[in-house]
Amino acid sequence: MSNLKERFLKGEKLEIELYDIHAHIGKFNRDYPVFAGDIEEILKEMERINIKKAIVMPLGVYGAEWFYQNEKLINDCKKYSEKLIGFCLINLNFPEKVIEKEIEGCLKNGIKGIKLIAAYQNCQDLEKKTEFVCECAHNYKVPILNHSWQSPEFLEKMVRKYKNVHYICGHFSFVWKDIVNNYENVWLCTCNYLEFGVVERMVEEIRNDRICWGSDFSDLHFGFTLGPILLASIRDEIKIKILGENTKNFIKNVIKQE
Amino acid sequence: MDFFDINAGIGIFSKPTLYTKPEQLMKIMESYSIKKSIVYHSLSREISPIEGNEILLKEVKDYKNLIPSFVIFPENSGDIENFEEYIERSIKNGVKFFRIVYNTFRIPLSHYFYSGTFEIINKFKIPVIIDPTIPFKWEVDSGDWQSIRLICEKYNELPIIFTEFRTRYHIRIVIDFLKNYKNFFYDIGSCWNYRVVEKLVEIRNGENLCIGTNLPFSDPGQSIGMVVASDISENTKRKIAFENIEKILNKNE
Repeated sequence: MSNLKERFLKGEKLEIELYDIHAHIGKFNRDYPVFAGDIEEILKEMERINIKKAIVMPLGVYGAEWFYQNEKLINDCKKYSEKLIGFCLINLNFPEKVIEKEIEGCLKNGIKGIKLIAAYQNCQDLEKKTEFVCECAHNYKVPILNHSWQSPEFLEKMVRKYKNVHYICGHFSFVWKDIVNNYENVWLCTCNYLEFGVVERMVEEIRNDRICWGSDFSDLHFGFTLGPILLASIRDEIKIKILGENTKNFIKNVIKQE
Repeated sequence: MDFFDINAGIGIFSKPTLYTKPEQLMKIMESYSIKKSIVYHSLSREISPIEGNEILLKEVKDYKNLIPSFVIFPENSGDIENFEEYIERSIKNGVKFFRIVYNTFRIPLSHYFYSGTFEIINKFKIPVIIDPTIPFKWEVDSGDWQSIRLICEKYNELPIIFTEFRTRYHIRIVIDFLKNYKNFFYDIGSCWNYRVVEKLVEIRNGENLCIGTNLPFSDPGQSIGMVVASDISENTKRKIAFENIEKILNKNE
């Protein structure tokens, strides 16, 4: 049995540094009460789990009051800049001018990337609007984490056209496999409901330096996303890459430093 | 930490799975430190409880750590002649839990209640696992809470264990049930929400929580991880992981 697996099952401290590519702050969600959602409580929980840094986005992803949610994000990320890297929430239902202004304003205030989740916002004209955001991200040279890139064909079109952008697939699926394997600037978050045996297949079929653990806190329980990686039948050094090193590299090489 | 899984299947399902045989399940259990599992048969879950249940008994008879659970139809469904006799015979044959998967057979859970099904099960005090999930459809928030409320209220000494693929919105209902019904038990593997385990253990010290893996479909690391990584005492973790369900089982021995 792998050392990490054994130690995790025994409830022992893992002593590995975690870097989280997909997380949320903001304290409220439509679907459920957010338990212990205050930013200070979240930071305490990050400390307990040993998360060194997390890429965070607003939690109220449905899009109401997205400017207000981005403002809250900016304030929290400024206050806790050593732990949090903010990606602003974009509501694709709004006109392009408004979207561009919001992106510009957020980036001026320390936000480092863009989060898209149009599927939750019942957005029409999805590809056109998404492409507009990709163009903005290309101009500003910032990454985008998208809940879903619609289709591999669409993602590949964006990757080839807007080369300054690093693209994060926000939720794991094998549909992104070829694009992640074929392009340097595409990253894959592990977060999703995982079928039995998927993690082993994932590391076999997808380049291991682009698979990044995403906890999706404060939406999902830490154990729900950590358990499948730590208990998988894969080598410990791959687990360490997925849980920390890959996102650490992403932050070092892609995120603009102050 | 040792685990007692309340939700594992064996047999061939309508889509291929990574294992089918009890000996294969035992190996997986060993790898995840799962000491015991309450199991059902694929045929019972997807097509025919009557035949599937019989196959289950034969398949698990040599595995004392695989606890058989029978999927049941309601009384007077036309599937069996004498429901009460069937229940009694099942118990004599070693069945420790019954399982109701009402959505698979498109029978409202309320019909199980009004047809007197629970009246008979309650006589024998055999715990019932209610699972609204249809395999491979993987719907979210499928619980029929009005019927579960009726069942918990009327048969308040009968353990009712609820499991589903995923509880998201309905966690607001689950909290209320855990507070109000001491015979209501909840599989925490059903809800993936942030710090949900930590919240639910505030109710009755976590005495009514248990864990299900949803094998062979789901990665067991998801539900096991939720117990292991929770910010709760080791003692409470052990209760959720193993002891609470063991206590229910021992009551019926």
